[in-house]
Amino acid sequence: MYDIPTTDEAALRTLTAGPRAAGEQADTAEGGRESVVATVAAVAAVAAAVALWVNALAGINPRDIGGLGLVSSLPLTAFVALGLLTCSFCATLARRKHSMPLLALHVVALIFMVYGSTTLVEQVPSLNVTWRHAGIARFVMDTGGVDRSVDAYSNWPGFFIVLALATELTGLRDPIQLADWAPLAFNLLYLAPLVAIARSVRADRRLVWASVWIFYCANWVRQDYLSPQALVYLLFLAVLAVLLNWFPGPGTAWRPRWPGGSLLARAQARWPNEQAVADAVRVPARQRAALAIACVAIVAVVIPSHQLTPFAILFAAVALVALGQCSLRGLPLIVAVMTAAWVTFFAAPYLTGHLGEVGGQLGNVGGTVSKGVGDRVGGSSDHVIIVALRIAFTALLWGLAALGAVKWLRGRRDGLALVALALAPLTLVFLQAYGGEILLRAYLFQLPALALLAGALVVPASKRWRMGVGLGVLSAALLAGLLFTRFGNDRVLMFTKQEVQGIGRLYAAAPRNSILVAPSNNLAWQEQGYGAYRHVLMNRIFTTREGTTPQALAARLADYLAGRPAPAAFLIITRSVRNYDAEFGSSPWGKVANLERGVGRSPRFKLVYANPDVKIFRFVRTPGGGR
Amino acid sequence: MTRPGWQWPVALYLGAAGALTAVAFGGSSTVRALVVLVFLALCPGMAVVRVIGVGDGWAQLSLALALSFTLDTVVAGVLALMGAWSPSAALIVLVAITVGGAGIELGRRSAAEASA
Repeated sequence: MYDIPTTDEAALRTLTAGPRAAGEQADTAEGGRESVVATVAAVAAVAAAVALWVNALAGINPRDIGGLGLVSSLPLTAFVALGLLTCSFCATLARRKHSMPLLALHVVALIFMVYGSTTLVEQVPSLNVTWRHAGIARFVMDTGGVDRSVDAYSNWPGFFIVLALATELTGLRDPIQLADWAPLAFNLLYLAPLVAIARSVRADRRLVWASVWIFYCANWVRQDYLSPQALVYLLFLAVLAVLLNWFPGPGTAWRPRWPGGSLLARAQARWPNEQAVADAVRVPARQRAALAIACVAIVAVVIPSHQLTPFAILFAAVALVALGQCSLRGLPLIVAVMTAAWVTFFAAPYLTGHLGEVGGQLGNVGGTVSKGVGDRVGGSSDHVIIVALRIAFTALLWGLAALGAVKWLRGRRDGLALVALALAPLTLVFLQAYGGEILLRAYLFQLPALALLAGALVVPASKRWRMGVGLGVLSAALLAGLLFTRFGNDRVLMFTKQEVQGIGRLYAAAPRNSILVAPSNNLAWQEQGYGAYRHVLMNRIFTTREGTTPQALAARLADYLAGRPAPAAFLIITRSVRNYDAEFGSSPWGKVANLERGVGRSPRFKLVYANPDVKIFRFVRTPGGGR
Repeated sequence: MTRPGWQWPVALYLGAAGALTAVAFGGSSTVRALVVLVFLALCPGMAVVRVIGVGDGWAQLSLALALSFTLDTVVAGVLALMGAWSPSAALIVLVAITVGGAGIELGRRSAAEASA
């Protein structure tokens, strides 16, 4: 079994025993020929894998996707493609003279195949929030600013302003046109900071690429669509890269005086990370000062762009400083003050109106976990399988990372920073449920550290073949899981062109300030006239099971609309809304099918538009109050 | 500390010129979209990072990307929140930052050559 170096010399040997040293040993004519053949074979394998994958996805119709998501429609060749790429990557990594550009090529191919796949299959951008985000950016383009009274998004507008700028400068008609390739683009952007983070631990170069590979095999949470989270995640990774590369170690005169400080000081003494500290000390003070300012500037943009990520940075910085792994000890205070300033001076009007919603969950860990896990286990049997697989997948990676952390910390004098970064995001669950997504987000923020620690279990190993096989088995397990966990909701999340056309007709027919009702939020709306309509969800206005027959549902909705003056009111029912109901389970108010049947028969609603995927009903107001 | 070179300044000048040209010609095309997006994602931040003198390739690139989006957000955000929304003005400011940063690096290179 491989022994992790325990001394500076060994660490330095590991650091320097990269491709060059290995290559010098193998610098014979035969070795050179072998190397050329292996390189050609690897490039051919990557090309074949990508071609097979694209060909496999080209024949998939979004309408045919089953309850288990994209995987239910994938032909055998898609699995062959992923297997081929994985085998080629592991073989390349296990070669005596491994090639960084070749490993990077494999990772880029994996990113294209996994994170570009939805784009290759979908007819229009998927995920309802993508359309809403495009709508907010369009609002900025149309009005030249933000209206903070509309909703929470407008109080953290950084991303939408940049999206509006990019749309205007690229000459595109609409921000939604940038959504198609957003997951692929964002994941490519993450590559540089991920490599920089992995390189900061001064480990074997193979572990750098293995951990990056594992990251992309395990990023199932799908927060890389056209969203503030996707952009600020890049900034989050860059901040970590700066802290780990240029500000490792405790700095001067580190004397923790808080309770448990001596324990932390002992931990710091056991894992001092000398090599990284020595490298950082050689950086000129002026450059380090400039980097600190750059770091603060990045955080200053994260704060007005996303509600949660500043806290992820804050907790990560606190954990690093507390464990003596970051010499930029003022950063937590700066992040806290800037966040508080934004909330106090800019977002206060919104927050004062939603104090119960925002502050009521503070410290309610049980409720938060229940919302993030328990409440999601429901709906169709397929959906229950997907949720169970997500829980198992996350637990698997946590378990592997824990084992990797034990191995790492027992054998090396660094790695405490990684453990801190793996644990710190879990403290986010003390804040609030974040719409039931807080555990997903915590996992996302943990993922770079988890990938490195899990990778350390198999890379490096005493025998190269053992390393290749170990990583191959791990990759196969993760990729198999990823196909279910990442794409498991595709039947619900993907929209059709007919749906988008129907929604366009809705906005064309509805005067400003109209009430637009949908059974749930799973439709491609709010991309037009953001803030100009009242978008109402059945599952927000009717939370009881009182009257779930078709007639009763139509009557309840008509009564609700009759009591609210508006130029017009419409109900829209789409294919995706029906799929949402079928897969995720009906809402307390009743079934979409019953509602559709009820309004179809009711004289108080008139069908004004229909295509195979969309029905739009107009509420008929009568002089007697609409009844 | 990186030694000042000429490759990045030239690339940054080309990126800035490309973005300005693409926007000035107007219309909508994939080429224009790519040129502008690459400029917004990389150039302003890389100009600043080169001035700071960050050497490591991957760390340099990651910081350049993050700082580019930071500068994009700050410039566009200030214009929007001041009620002076103007994508063209934002582009000009970002081009100025890029050209200024590249100019500083070229100036340092000339000074280093003169002193050598």
